[in-house]
Amino acid sequence: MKRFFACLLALGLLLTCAGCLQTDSPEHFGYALAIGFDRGETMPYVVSLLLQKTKTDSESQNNSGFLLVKSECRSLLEAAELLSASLPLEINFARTALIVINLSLLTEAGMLEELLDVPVSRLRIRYNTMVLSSVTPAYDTLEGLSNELDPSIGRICANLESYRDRTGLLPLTNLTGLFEAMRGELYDAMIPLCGVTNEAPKALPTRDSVGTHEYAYIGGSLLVESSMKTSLAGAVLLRGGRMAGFLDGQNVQLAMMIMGDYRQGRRRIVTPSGMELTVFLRADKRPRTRFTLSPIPSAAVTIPLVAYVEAPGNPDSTEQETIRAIQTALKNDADNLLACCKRLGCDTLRFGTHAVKCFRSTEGWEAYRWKTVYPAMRAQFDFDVTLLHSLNESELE
Amino acid sequence: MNLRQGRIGNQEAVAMAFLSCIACGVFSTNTKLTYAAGNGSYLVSAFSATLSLLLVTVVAEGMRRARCKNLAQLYRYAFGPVLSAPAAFITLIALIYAAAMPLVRLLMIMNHYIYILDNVQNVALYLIPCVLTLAWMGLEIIGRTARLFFVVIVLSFFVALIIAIPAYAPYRLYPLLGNGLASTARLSLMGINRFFPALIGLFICGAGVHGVNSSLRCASIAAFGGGLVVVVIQLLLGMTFPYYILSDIPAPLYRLTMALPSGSMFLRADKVLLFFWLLSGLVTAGYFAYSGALLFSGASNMRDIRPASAAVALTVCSVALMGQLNLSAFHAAVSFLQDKVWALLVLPPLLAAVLAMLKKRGAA
Repeated sequence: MKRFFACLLALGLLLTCAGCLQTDSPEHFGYALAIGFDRGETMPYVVSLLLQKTKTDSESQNNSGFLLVKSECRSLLEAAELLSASLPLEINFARTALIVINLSLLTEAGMLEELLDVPVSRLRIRYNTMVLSSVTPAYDTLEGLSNELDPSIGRICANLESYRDRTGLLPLTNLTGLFEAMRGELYDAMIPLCGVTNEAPKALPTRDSVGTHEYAYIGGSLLVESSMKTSLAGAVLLRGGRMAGFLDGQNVQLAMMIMGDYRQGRRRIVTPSGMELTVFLRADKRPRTRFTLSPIPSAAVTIPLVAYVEAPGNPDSTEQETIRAIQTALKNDADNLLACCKRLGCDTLRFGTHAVKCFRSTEGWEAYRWKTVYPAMRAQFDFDVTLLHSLNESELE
Repeated sequence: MNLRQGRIGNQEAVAMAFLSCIACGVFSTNTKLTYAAGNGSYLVSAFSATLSLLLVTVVAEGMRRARCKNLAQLYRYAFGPVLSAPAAFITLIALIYAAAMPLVRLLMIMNHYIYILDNVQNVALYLIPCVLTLAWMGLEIIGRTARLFFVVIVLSFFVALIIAIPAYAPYRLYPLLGNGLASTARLSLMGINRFFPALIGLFICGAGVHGVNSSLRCASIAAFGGGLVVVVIQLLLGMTFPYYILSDIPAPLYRLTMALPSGSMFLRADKVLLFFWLLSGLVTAGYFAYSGALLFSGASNMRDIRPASAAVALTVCSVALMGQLNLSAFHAAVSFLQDKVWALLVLPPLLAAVLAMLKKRGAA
């Protein structure tokens, strides 16, 4: 009997511990799926939030999709508070998957750190949140993400990843990568460039920072027409947290080959004889990098690739000549890309991640000041190309 | 005598100490301090686990020579009936600290990421019945609970590590020695408080774990296995985030699955896994609360452990809650203690063991 009453008492006590069971339903929250940052007029920033609309039983199906709100403010924290009060919703950043930053905010040193450093930890934004830079206002870019297909932000991000893997034309950067690049001396980040299709071409120079103007499409100047207004290609090069230049899709592809992030893609190559080849290139293995620090930092990078000439179908040259033509073109492009990065002072190709391996203590590495030494470094690129005669057939067919 | 001790087998004892090693090894790490000057936390964990095992081996030798079945007997033998109670009290304080630290982190994660709108006091209320029940019911229940959840909890840690594979980049581990050997040695010494309590707990409950030899065997397995799991976790954490980001994250393991290039597929994996990790924290808190109470009861000749174990369990939960509240005096005390706790933990049993060895030698 005594035990029975003890159990009853324990049960009663447990029921009083219902502190977490409040009446907050999911509709009470406004989940910010994407955040946009623009320069403000009266306040320093305009923060746009793409909020997820939650379906409830009593509401119609039309209520699904996004709700775009914006606020002028001094920081993201302030914007979250202002919008929470006016909507009224408890703004939650647990599901944030995308951050879009207008290019004008990347031109000043320290602005990116100010925008993201404190809010990411205070608002518990996930470190895998993808970061994009936008040629057009971030608000317009976020608005352009919606169309009649009603894609979710998760699906858009997954599609970008798949596009990166299939083409190599797009670098993807998340908050971990961005913070790692901004706070440390290891390397500099490269952020994908996006924009609203009709507006972007006017806002950008015709050439990228390497000087490429052949086949150069960057930030929303893709020749496509769709109901989804936002499109994306190419990248912004950062030096620390500040914009240093642009890369078009083809140079991004090359940078990814050198960094080891490349899987496959299509590339237009001009042979020494002036012939244009469209070559499908697939990464055979990860690139091998031999790095030495003294007397000056030097790297020898070997990049194994498998190539298949798609057009013209039968180039009027031998296999060895074709391989040599592809190797020469890739090597020249890689040399130009490195020269551009060194000129801009940004270690986009991540040679710092190899340099750090030569040090025994963090103190020694930090005292070395890699970024000051980097412009003097030398690199030799060797593209180990194997030519395929068929892409889809096995050796036995 | 109502010490709620009974007898547990080797599997239960190993599971109990193993889980405590992992919970403390992962969730008691002071990230600000550990990652302040580089990413050598995996080395630090390996050295700390080894040092802890060496220290308990010395304690075991002292107990063997003095023919003591548990640590309370060793304290009484070495320090005498008057001084044994204060010595046990010092160990008890250190055990409360060791039990509360994983709970502080787990409570923080629950409050910040799951029960966002609720206040921390309400969330902390749920810890009390679990820790109190375990400490009240005694060694057998703690051992069996640990064994029951052992495989699932260990697997949950590995699931998180497997999910995060795409985010690993080995260059983040460089420079390999962190900030050099001196810094690694200093952090290893301070890290003893992450492994030593789990191992010394087995000697406190020595009578229930079939004596000193059995306790030492279980402690060796737990230190090696638990230490290895912690080293792997720290190594892979170091490959996921650079050290200057890790030093800003209080519970990096919880952020591990959020560091993937695309986390949408595993959006809720972190929350599911957290509840298994919480189980490890609760078992650890119950185990340390019971061990502390048993040591204090034994050293001060108390015949019933229940008042002491209830008081210690409630203190552990209160300390865990205070860790989350804005109490400046409490935080100042914890900051003062955190690099000295290892000494509080190690000195009384080590001194007792040395004294016991000297006494024995003198008697012979």
